[in-house]
Amino acid sequence: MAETRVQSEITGKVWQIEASIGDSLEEEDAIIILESMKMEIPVVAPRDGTLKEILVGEGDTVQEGQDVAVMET
Amino acid sequence: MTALPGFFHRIDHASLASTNDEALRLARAGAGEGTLVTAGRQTGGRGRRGRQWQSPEGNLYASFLLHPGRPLAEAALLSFVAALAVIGAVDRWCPAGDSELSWPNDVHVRGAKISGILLESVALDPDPGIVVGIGVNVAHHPDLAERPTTSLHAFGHAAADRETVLGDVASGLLLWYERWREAGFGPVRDAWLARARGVGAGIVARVGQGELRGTFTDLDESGALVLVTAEGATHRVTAGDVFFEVA
Repeated sequence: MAETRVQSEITGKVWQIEASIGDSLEEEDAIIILESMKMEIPVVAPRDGTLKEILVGEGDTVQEGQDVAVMET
Repeated sequence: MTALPGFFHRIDHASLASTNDEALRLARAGAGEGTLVTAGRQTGGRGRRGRQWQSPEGNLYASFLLHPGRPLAEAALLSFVAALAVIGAVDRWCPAGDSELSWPNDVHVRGAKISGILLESVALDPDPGIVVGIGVNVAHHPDLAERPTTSLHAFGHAAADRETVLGDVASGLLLWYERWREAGFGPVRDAWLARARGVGAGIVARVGQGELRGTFTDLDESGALVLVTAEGATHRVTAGDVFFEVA
């Protein structure tokens, strides 16, 4: 199993954590919902795998390119 | 149904849970840019952060699918493009001096909110798609404790109908979208600032669990609201709720 780090594609605030550690995720399943400029942006699983770690919490500011989750893929 | 620019392909429903949800579903299924989903009423209409958007018959509920071909940070600027489209549509009914924009995309008429815009990105290949969801209070408005709301009918414009408003919103959205794609954010920013409420006034930005108080001085090139505190510190607000202080 490989480890995949999931990055945010935009600077914004974490509005909602959508998945839980241990969840089996399919590619494009939402892990986190960010908000920026009143746009809601799901950060999605880049490939099938298991969610191993969530690196941010609701209300946190994240930067473009920042790791927000870790998956086992 | 109103005539729309040929750019748009409209799919109308009598009732839907959410036009945004349907537009997102269509986007994932391969729908092209210009797909427009409308509904006479919504049973699960939502605004930002999952808040309910009351959606009785008579108001406008429309979601536009766009493929701007830009990274997400740039695509988020469509918030301001959509705001200009909505205020342009409201201008048909209300004197221009009565309507204003609040950061980033609320339209207020005499201080009361008349519309809501929710953008949602959808992961597509090669670039994200953006669903621009727009709700306009044409005939009805909710009675909310936390903020005043209004509708076109409440201002005496009983002839206002959702089809005419949709036609104006769609035309304005296409106009500003094309202008943004050709010339960048500059013209959009200038037009937005010209209609913005409270430039130079006191504002409160509720960001996460905290609050920032200061003066609204500008909109920067990334679309962030620029706030300067009494202590002279400059902050850029990119998310959260912004309120104007009552004098």
